[in-house]
Amino acid sequence: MLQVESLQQLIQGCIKADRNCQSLLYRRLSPAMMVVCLRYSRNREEAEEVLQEGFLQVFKSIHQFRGEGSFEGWVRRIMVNCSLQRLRSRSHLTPVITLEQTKEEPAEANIVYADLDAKELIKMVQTLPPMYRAVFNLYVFEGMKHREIAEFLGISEGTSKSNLSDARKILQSAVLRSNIIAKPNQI
Amino acid sequence: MDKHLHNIDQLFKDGIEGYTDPPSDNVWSNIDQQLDKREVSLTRYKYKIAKYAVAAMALLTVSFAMVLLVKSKKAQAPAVPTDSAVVSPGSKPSLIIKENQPQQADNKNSNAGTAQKEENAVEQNTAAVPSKTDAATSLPEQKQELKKPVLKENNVTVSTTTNPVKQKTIAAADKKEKKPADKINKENGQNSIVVKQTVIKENKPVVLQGPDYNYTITKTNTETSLTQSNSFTSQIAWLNEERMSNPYAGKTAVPVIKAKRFKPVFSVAAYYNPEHVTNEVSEGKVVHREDRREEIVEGEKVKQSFNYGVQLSYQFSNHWAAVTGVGISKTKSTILPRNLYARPVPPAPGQNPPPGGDVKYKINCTAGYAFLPSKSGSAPASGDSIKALQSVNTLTYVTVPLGMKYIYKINRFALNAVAAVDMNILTNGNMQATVTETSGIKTQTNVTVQGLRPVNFSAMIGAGAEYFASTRLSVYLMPETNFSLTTINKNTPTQTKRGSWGMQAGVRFNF
Repeated sequence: MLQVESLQQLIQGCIKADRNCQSLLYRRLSPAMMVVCLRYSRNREEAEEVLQEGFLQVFKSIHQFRGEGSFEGWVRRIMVNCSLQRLRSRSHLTPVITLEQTKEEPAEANIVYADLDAKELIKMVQTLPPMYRAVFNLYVFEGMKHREIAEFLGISEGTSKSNLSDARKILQSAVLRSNIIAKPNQI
Repeated sequence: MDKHLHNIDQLFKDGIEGYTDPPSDNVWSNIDQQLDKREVSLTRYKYKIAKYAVAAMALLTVSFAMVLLVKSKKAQAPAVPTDSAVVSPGSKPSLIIKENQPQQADNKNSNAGTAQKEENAVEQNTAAVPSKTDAATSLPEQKQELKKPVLKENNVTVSTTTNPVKQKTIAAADKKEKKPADKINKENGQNSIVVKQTVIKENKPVVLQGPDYNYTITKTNTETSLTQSNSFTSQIAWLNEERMSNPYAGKTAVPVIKAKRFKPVFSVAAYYNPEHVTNEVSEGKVVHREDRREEIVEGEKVKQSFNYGVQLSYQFSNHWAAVTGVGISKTKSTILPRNLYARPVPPAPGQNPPPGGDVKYKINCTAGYAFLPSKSGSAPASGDSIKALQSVNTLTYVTVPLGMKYIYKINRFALNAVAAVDMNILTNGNMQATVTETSGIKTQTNVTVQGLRPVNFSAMIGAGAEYFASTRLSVYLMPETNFSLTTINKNTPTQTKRGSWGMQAGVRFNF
């Protein structure tokens, strides 16, 4: 977590376009923001491009940060917006539902999850179709409601729910396939 | 089912949240480059705005000047008759005033009729004013006649006494008479005074303009008076002589119509000009990583920049002046902490490098570079590094401008525009660096910045306003911009062209 005082100094420096402060701010926030971008992107290269665009946007708009709420949260929102903007611009935000995916059986009850590598989990999320990935990320990580997601992505609330459900199924299948589940009925 | 789905959500949330993954180094490099491009575009945008602002300011200034000019002319209008009178060049003329009968509004009389009225007027006022015969009398007598020129009616005839035969009254407001002034001028020859309008209205003086003198006829409700004044300074001596004998000379209250000769003005101004520096830094001679432009520009900030001095101005015409002077320009920049690397010191021209080479810690700045002296017995090896705390770079120049100034004076105000070329002579370029030794001891050193040109040239343009508190003392304020015509350094990691915006404020003394 960033220290408030040093963060304020960095923000002030960035407002004055001080390159040193911009560099320091980037070094502090980029590891966490990279994960955000990875979740919304197909691969690492795309995530780095989004990260780059996002930070440029941060430095451009940093004077608009009013100090209300967390600065990290503000930067995170910019990263999410940039990620979704990229998806929209490349026409990726169209639901892609394959028959195999929809027919996939949900996981068994009482499954116990073993220690999962974050990298593996991110890769699983990256395998989701763009719209599922967007809905899943917004719902699970950004804590948005279906109504908000529907407004945010310009889809219906029902579509949002459906896409989330499908995304979950796909992820469950992926988890099962990757054999990272512990024995069932063990809690 | 829901529970399973919830578990999936939780699995991913718990597994990914809090996880960090540093991006590759080239992401920041790309951001850095993009930011540089943005700075350049922002600077261009600012210059564009400034260009439009200057154009708008110039337009406003011209409009303002035009309005003031028109107002000024209107203000002068009552003192200057619309119909002028001319005294032809020649010997010192003496004048008489001859009264006429009033010109009736409905009396669109012919020349003959006018002549008749003229005769009547002469006859009626014989006792009070000089007749044609009187006009031929000597000068003292004429002065006596002018002493109390009583004008009962509206018409006045002015003529020289040297050619009384040709003296003629012009009918006032006689529009039928075409160019009476020209006719009379031809008839009267060299010493005639030609009057186009002879109606003298109350409290509206008529100025008769001549090449040597101005004559003003003023009518009040009680009397009419004639005053004489010089229009050229060359005639002052004669006029003074005249004043001794002529009580009416030099009493004019009416401004001279034209033909003012400009008197050159020499002035000295003391000024102070705080500046905002906008350097243009480009890649120069790059040998090592730390020589890269980005490395040098990053973390260097101009802390303070100003110039002050004396400006000499010689105004040789109504609107133009030559400008020169001498000033001191000082710029102080701070360099944030950075790693310094030991590099071989290039040998001085004509000298061979010492055996094994002379290696010192090198510190770069946009102005040039400097080598920090190493302690005896602890010479670093090439590539060694040391941490430098905040360093300060100071550049001082003596500036000699040479340019032109356009002046547009309006009453107590003047609008000025200046364009000049500055010769900047380097007097001091040093770097104060504080380094931390491996033992933790901080050492402060003051070294000379290398690579700076001893002389560089820049151009200055500015436009501002000046207020004349008195005829000799004035204050002025002038926004100005200064930009390098040559780089301030050579054979350095960066090539720097200095630019600045400033607000010059000064006090001027006019001799």
